[in-house]
Amino acid sequence: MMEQEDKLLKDFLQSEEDMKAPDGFTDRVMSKLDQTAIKNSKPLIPLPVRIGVLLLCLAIPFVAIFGGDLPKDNWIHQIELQDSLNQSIQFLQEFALIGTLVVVILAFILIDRILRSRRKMSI
Amino acid sequence: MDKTAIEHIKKRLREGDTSCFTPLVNEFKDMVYAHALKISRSPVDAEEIAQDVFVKAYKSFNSFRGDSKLSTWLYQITYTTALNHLRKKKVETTEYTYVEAEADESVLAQIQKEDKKRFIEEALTHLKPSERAVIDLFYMQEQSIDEVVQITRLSKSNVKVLLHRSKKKLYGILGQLLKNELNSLV
Repeated sequence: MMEQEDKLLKDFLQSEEDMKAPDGFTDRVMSKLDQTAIKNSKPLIPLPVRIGVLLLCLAIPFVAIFGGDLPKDNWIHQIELQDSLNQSIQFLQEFALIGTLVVVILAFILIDRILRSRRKMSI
Repeated sequence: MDKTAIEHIKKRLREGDTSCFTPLVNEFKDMVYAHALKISRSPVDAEEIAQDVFVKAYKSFNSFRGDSKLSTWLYQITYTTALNHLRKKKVETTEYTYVEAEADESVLAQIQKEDKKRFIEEALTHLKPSERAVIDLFYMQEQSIDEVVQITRLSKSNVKVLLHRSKKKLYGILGQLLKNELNSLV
């Protein structure tokens, strides 16, 4: 009884038209897969090298800002600097530090993306 | 697609070659799209779901051990992706007044061949996505109960109950639709 009932419904429901994937579906999927492959591929620049370069890049502005003594005859000593000017310089120095860091990270991401997509194209 | 072909795809995917996935997409795109469309009842959503299914399959293809058929594995991904997609979109099923009915040959026989498509379309719209999914898998795609269990990850008894309930609901809706049609003709 149950089987007969199921067969009946099967015959009825299977009369619905076959549904085909739309035209160009495969191309759209493949382009998505290519993007996924680039995102998921192994980084070409090894992690220790990345960290090393990053630390080096960070060290440069640190040394430049906090490292050496200013020369005695520096113009800063020759004029009376107001507090506000001092603060502005300090702000600019900190800004330079953060800016350098951001630029380095962005450059890394960009270089890595370019290298990965080149490797993808060469396959 | 046999085991050798699957292993070949796995190997080439490890080498970073995505183009080896094209035959797989071509072979299963209609199946995946049709199932996604049956669950979502929207061609736009179905395409989105089907694309996501292949991306997910690509990402986890190396974990496919071949214990089940590749089609069953893809059905499984389609089922979960479609239900999650509809849950995110918060698509609600339209409430429909009907009386649950047992299988009745006369109801199905009364529906003319040319009206079948329209009736099925309408009746399926009033089922919940999970009910549409099991109806599609079992009755339309002719998957066995065990395969439906694998795909939905529900227990065997849950699948049977869900199938029975969906079937009764479908008959009820079809009966009601037919009644409405007859009333409109009189």
